[in-house]
Amino acid sequence: MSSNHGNGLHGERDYVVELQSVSRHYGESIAVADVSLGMARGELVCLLGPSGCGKTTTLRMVAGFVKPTSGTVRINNQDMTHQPPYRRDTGMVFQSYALFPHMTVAENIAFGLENLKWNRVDREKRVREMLRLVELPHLAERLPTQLSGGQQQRIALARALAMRPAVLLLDEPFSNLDAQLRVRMREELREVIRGVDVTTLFVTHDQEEALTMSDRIVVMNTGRIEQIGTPGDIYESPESTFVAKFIGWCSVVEGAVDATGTFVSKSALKVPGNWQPGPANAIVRPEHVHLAADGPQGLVREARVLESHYYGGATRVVLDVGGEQLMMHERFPFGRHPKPGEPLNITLNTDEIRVVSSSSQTFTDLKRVAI
Amino acid sequence: MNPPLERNRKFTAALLLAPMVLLLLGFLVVPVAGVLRSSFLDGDYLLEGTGFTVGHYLRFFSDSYYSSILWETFVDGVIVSLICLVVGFPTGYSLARLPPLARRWRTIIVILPLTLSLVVIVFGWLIILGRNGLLNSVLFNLGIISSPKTLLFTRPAVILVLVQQFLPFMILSVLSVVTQIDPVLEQAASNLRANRLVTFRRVIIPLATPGILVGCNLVFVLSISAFITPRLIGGNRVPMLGSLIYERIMSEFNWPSGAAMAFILFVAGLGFTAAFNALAASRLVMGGRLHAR
Repeated sequence: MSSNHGNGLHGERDYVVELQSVSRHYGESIAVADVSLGMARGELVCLLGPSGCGKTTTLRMVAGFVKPTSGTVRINNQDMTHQPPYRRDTGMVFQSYALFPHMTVAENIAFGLENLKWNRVDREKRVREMLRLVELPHLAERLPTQLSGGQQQRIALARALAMRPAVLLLDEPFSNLDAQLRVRMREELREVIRGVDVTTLFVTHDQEEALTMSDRIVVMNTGRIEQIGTPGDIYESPESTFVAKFIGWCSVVEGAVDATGTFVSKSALKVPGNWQPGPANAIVRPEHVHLAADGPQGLVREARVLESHYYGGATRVVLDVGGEQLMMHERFPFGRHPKPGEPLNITLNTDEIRVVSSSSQTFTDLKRVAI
Repeated sequence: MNPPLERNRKFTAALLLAPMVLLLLGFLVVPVAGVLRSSFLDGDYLLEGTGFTVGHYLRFFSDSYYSSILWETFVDGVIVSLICLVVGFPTGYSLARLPPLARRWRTIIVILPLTLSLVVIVFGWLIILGRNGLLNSVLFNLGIISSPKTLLFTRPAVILVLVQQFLPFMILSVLSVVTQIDPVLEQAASNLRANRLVTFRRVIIPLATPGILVGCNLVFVLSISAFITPRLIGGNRVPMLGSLIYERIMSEFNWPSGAAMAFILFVAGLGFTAAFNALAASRLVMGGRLHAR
C-alpha cells in the first residue's frame, strides 16, 4: 500500500528536531549558513563555538524567536519554520533564566501548563512533581528575587520541563554561575535531563561543558558547522585546525603531507600515516608529549623550555622542539619545575598525533609556490 | 564611621538641601498656609474678611451645584486618565522597545507639545473647534454636515484638549516602566505557550502597573486642577472646579470662598496621590509584590 509509504516521515530518520539547510542573514552579514542537523529522541546535542559563531541564533531558530532566511525547521516531523514560538513544542531555559518576577516559583512553573489548558488539579500535581525533580519543594511560594542563582536556574529548568516539551533548549545555562557552582549544576542538570529522558539542545562556548554533557557536539564557526561528532570524535579526531584549537589545548605544527602519506613539518617533524597529501597541520596535544624518561617508546628529542606555568596538579610547559612550539602537561617533583631556557629531553607519541589538511594555503605556502 | 565625619556629612547634606527647602517653604508651604487661612475668613470680598468661619466649606458641601461640579471634575479626571492610558500605553510600550537612538528622537517629539505655552495650544484648539473653525469647514465642505456644529463649549471638547495636553505624561510614565521590563520575559512567555494577548495580560500589564499608576495619578491630578482649558474651551457651560475657583477669585473677588474651594481641590489631589501610592505599594498590585520581602 502506498498509503503506508512515508507515513508522515519526511526525513531519513524519525528526528525530534531537524534543521534542513537553515540559514539566517542580517542584511549583508550571515549569522547562520546552511546548517543541517537531526536530533534523535532522547539525544543531548550541544552547539559549541566562540561568540558570534551562530550557535545562539541556531537555537533561537528552533525556539522560533528568529525566522530563518532560508531552510526548514522541523519539530516532531512537522514543519515549524513559520510557526510562532508559542505553537512550538519546545521548553527553553534562558541564559538569564527569565523567571517572571511578579509570580511565585509555583506560579512560574504553572504558567506554561495554564496556557496548555491543564486543569487545576493536574497543574498543582505537576508543579509539585517538578519541584521534587529539582529538589526545591520548599521554595514553591517564594518569589524569584528571593532565590540564589543556582536555585533560579533549577526553577527555570522545572518551568521548561513541566510542559513535557518535545525538545528542551538551553541557552548558555551556566554562564551566570560562579565556577564551582557551575560544575555542580552541570552534573545536576545532566542527571535531571537523563532522568526525564528529554531530547535536549544546548548552547555553550565552554568546551568542558560540551565534552562532559553531550552525546554529540556540533562545533560551529562563522555561522557554519565545522564538525559534528561525539565528544570523543571531536577531541581525538578533529577534522579541522579550528576544531582542534577550540577544544582542549593543542599546538598546531604547519607542514605538508608528502606522496607517501607522511606528514613532514618545516622543522622536519614527521608524523607517519596514511594522510591526504597536500598542505596540512599536525595537531599535537599536551598528552602526546612526554618527558624522555617516562614516555612510551619513540625518538628522544632535545627541547628547550620557553614558558612554564604552574597549575598545582601539573605544570604546563611550552617547549621549543627543533623550531616548533609544543605544549606539555607534566607533574614535576616539588622544587624541580623547569625554568625558561632549560634543556629537556622529550618523546613524541606520533601514533596519536592527528593531521588535518589546512583549509587554505597560508601566505608562506603561496610564496614558496611562487619561488 | 567616626562621629566628627558623620556630623560633617550631615552638615553637608543640610547645606545641599537648604536652597530647595527654602524655596518650598517660601513658595509652597507659606502660600498654601495663606490659602488655608483665607478660606476660614468671614466675608465675601477680596481680603476684607475677618474672624474665623467654616461657612465657605459648609456652603460648598451643602449646595448641590458645587458638589455636582466637584463630582463632574472627578469624572472628567477619570475619563481623561483612561483615554490617556488607552492611547498612551501602546505608544509608550512601542517607544520602550525601540533601540535607544530611535527612541530618543521619538521621545523628543512626544515631549515637544509640553514646551508650548498652554495658552497657545488652547488658542490653536479654538481655531480648530470654532463655529467657523477648521474642523467645521472641513466637515461642511466634505458634505458630512450641512450646517456648522457647536464643538466648542462642550464637555467632549474639554476632555479632548485635556487628553492632548496630558498624554505625554502618560507616555513617559509607561515608557520608563516598560524599559525596565526585560524583553526576554516576553520571549519566555511565548516559549511557555502564551500568545501575545496572554503575554500582554499576564506579564506586561502586571509588570507595567507601577508606571500605569504613576501616569494615571499625574494625568488625573493635572486634569482636576486644570483651569485654562475648561475656562477657554468649556466656557461657562462646562464648569470644572479649576475654572470655578478662577471665576470666584478673579471675577467675583471672593477670596475666602475661592480659597476654600482651592483647598478642597488641594486636599483631593493629595488624597488621590496618596491612594495611588498606597495602591502601587500594595500586594494587590505587582509593584508591591516586587518590592515586598
